[in-house]
Amino acid sequence: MSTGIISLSDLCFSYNDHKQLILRNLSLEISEAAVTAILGPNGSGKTTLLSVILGIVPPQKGTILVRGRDHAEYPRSAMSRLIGLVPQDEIFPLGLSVFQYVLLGRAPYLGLLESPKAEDYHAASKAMETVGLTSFEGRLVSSLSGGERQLAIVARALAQNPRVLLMDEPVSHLDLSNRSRVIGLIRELAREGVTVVLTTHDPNVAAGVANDVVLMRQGEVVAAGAMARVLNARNLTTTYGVPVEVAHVHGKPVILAP
Amino acid sequence: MGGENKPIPGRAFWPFLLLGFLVLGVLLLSIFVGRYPRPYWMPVSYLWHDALARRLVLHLRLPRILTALLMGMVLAAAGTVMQTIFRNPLVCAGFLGVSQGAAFGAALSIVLFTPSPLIIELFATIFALSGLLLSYLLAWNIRYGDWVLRLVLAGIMSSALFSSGVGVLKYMADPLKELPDIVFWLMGGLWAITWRDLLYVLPIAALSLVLLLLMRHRLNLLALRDETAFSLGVSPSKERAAVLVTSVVGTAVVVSVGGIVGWVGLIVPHIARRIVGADAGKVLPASMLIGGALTLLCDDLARSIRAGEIPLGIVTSLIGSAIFIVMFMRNNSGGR
Repeated sequence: MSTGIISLSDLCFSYNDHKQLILRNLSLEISEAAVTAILGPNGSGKTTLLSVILGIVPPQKGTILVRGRDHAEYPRSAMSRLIGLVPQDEIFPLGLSVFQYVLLGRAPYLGLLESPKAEDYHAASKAMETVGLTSFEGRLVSSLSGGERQLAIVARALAQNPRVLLMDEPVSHLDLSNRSRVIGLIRELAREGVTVVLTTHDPNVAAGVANDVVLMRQGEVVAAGAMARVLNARNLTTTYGVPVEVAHVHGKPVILAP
Repeated sequence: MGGENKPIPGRAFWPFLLLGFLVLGVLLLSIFVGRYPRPYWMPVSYLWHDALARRLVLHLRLPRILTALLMGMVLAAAGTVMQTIFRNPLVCAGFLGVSQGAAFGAALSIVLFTPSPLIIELFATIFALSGLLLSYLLAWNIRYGDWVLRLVLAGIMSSALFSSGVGVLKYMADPLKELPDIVFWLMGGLWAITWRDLLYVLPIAALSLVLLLLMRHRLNLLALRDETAFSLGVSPSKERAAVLVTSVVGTAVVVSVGGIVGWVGLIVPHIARRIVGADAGKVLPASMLIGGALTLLCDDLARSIRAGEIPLGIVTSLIGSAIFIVMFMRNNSGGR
């Protein structure tokens, strides 16, 4: 892989003090301005890995370097300007409009006692425009469809203007149209220099969007590297525990499972 | 771009100006509402011509009016905080064992000692805070659900425990002397408020209001999923605990002098959301103003409708439930 914006080395993590390790001696380089897909079956530790990178759960062992500096050295406000999160689902505050929700993404730029200023309103509007939700501004966020909600969550994270965007299963609940919309958006973000780290259990999503792929099974990295090199039948069969075939359509791998 | 001219920060200015005038109007009205010199209304000129009227206003009405205002502001602010953080439109400050804890403390002091306002207030405050502490301890040890659900469950447990304690004390109380005192305290009322009571309540209640106002923009963030809030630079557990403790301590103090005054914390945030929208940063100050005005109006009714005092809690329950029914019959969405 190329230059690493995030380097993980020898990470171990467990929710109950080493009784059951969710991440085992995991080492990884995340390339800057690229899309990295963390791919693996359910329960392989993908979401936990995102939480550890975010810093909400500290690892029991190992180091996380962000731009060459230890994760813990960054002040919280600096880290929240650097890394944004698109969770798999969101709890929306009571009765907020889509715009009010997206505006919450500006929190890292506001002091504890500060209210949003004109530039924050502008950034939130721009984020809504980027995801194509401008006409939904006044709608209640709770009244949106699943796909629109996902776009609102992405817009909230974009208003944060992060250099790294962590996305937990960003397309798993979406229909084909919204899925291609979100995938297009992810590609565009990477082109603009944003580092996207997404989790998915679907190898075809990784094949469709990722530059790099990390294959995970039971908290360990099975293989990591450029998508075309990593997504082969042998690696995928090892990861998922079922025979997997890889065909190529228009030069891109298409994963076929029984 | 569509968004630039839509959510204007200054848009909330007019509602707040009107609410400010509303509070001021109700405050002035309250000075002249009462049973002296005749039912319902005292002519303004009495303030200059009648020494008794002046003394009545200065020593009885004013401390009571200001306490009612403060109480309403604190209860409504705490209700807004709870509804936002627990993402539940049906919770209020009585949550987390605070009201029932205060009720137990007051009832205990009435049964154990010759009831004096100071002892009742002290016991009510101590047990209101104990109710909160117990809720927190239980929430830490419950092994079920996320933080919000654990705290909700713990609040129900703590309230039930103190509520049964109140039942026991009512059963044990002297039915002629102590029981009426307990029952009247439980119904809530500000009939005995003096300047001393107001000074006892004012520092903590005002501090809690100021702190909540300062933190108002964090409330929406605290309603988000922990991971999202964290990614936005928030420390969810610490900040939630800070705003909850701030609002509950304020509530404990006002409840200790005024008894259980229901519905204000529940209904006022809903009214505020209809007026200023759902952004908790705006709902909180609007709730404070509306809560103050509503409680003051209810207290005016409580002390002037009949020659005898009607407990404030009964008036707020009656008016609060009526408003609630009307609001939800007109619009089932529960908010804008």
